[in-house]
Amino acid sequence: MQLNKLSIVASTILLAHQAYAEDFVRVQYLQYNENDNRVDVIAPSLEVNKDFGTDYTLNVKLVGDTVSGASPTYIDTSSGASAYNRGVVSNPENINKQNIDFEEDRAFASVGLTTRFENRDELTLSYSKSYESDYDSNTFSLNYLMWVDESKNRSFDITTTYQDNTILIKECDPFNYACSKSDAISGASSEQDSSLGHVQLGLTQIIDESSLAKVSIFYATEEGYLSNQYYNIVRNGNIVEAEQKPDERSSYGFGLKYFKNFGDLTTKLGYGYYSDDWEMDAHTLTIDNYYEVNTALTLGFGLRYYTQSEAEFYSNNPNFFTTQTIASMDDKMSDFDAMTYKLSFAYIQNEKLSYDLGINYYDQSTDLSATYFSAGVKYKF
Amino acid sequence: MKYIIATVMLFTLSGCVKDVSPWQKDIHAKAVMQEGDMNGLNQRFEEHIYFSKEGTKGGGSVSGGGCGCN
Amino acid sequence: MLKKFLLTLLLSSYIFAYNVGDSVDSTLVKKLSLENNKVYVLNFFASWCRSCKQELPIINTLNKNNIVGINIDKDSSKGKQFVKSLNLKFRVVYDSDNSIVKQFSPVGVPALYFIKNGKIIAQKFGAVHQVDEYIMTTLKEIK
Repeated sequence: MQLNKLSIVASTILLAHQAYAEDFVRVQYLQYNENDNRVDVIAPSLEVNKDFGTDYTLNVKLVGDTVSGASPTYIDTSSGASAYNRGVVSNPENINKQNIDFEEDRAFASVGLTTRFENRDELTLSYSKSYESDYDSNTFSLNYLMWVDESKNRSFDITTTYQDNTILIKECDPFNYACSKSDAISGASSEQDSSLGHVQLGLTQIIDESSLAKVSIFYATEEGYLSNQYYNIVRNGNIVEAEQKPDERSSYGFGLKYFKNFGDLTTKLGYGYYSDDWEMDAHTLTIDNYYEVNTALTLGFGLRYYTQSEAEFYSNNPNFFTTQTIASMDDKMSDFDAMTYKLSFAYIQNEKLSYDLGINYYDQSTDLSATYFSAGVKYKF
Repeated sequence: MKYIIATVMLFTLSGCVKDVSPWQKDIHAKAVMQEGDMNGLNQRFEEHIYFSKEGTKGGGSVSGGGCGCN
Repeated sequence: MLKKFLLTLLLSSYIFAYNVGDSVDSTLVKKLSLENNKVYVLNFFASWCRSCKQELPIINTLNKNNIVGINIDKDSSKGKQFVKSLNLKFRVVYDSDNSIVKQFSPVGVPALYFIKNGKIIAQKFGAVHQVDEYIMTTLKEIK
């Protein structure tokens, strides 16, 4: 189930990044649980990183995940819990926000190759594919790192990403305008596309022996089917129909980061600004600390604060929408704050073997909160 | 772009930037001084949770830094 | 005032760095036990430098007699452990106070210097793909 249901396999937009030159295999287990048993995710993953001499690094990641649970949206509860219980409801009291059950298996694979030139500039090309029964996503990404000075204390980088998504609209209902098309093979009623283009410019500056700063700006544009087929809105208080978000979105923003090492303690501070033409603005503040207890054990503790304003076409009031074509009651589009509390442990057993554990708690000012956990083993070869 | 130029100017003009020599990069080579979390998959997972549960997306990790000795 | 500042800035970054054609200070020649009439390859490396880890096993396959490794780890025990783990067969000098590397002042690590009769004949900064071939070719050119 695509987009808003937690899918760790659906690609995040920035994929290509500077490769860590090291030969290793990582196996990891990830688990995510929302409050009220809304969504549970179990995701085992495998990552292999291999250097070929000093000039090439290959990185391959494979993730499979199983998602189950329920996601809330407005439906006509008099005719059972399905997101397709749409239409005019004779008794408006039967329109309620209810959890819609779902279960999905997904697969994700990515491959990235880094090439280093004679002046040690780096070019990383990546491709990733994410697949689930109603969602297919392909992402191409390119990152170029250019050292500005001989001592390699300053660098520029540019990252461009293009993502193409195909969404299968699985069922039909009278309010779904795409019903007329049918896909006999997949059983889908219709196929929708969306695409995303993203470009980011970054600058990294080493300030002294123990600190550095990073600055970046980005611009992104999306077009196509940006709605969620499983999300409904209520019109005039008595009609349930599929939500419709705009079919275009452009956004920009900037990021600032500062890393400082104080001996055993390393602190990373970050701030991010986001703005788009859906009238959404967001601010993100992060602080991550890593304490090296000894050469083997590192403890990490971090906080993240996020705040966003609501989209111009969002409302949570069932009586708000009347004639508006573009309308959404998706909580993701609302005005909210969120905090993440992070704790991690990394333990190096010997030159070859290391382990890590991570426990995070995420709390939104909407009714969403979640706990997620990861355990990994890394083997260097 | 103006933010990048402004920051370069800020660093350069304020004189707060030191010309760190290659043999002084041991701290910058540490895993804890690299971009992102201690491991890439955790960071990816976390980013995806935000991608799935929050209404905005864009921006990401910036290369550079480290020991500059790759 | 500004001129003086700029001049100091320029001198501080360049005057102390060795370049091709420069003679290596005699105390340094002694410290590194470099004999006259012999060509040496100096390789500056650190345990925290990943491409050094890639290059060193390749350099280790070459004739050990004219290679001198200079480990620049501030903690020489880390350097020694690193050398042991890679089983390096050539001579390694531990420069934990960084006095040697400061005199050479390479602009990157790993760094290679080719020295003949106490004079720098060639130099290369940063990682080199197939470093063995690079060293052999440069040595041939020098001889």
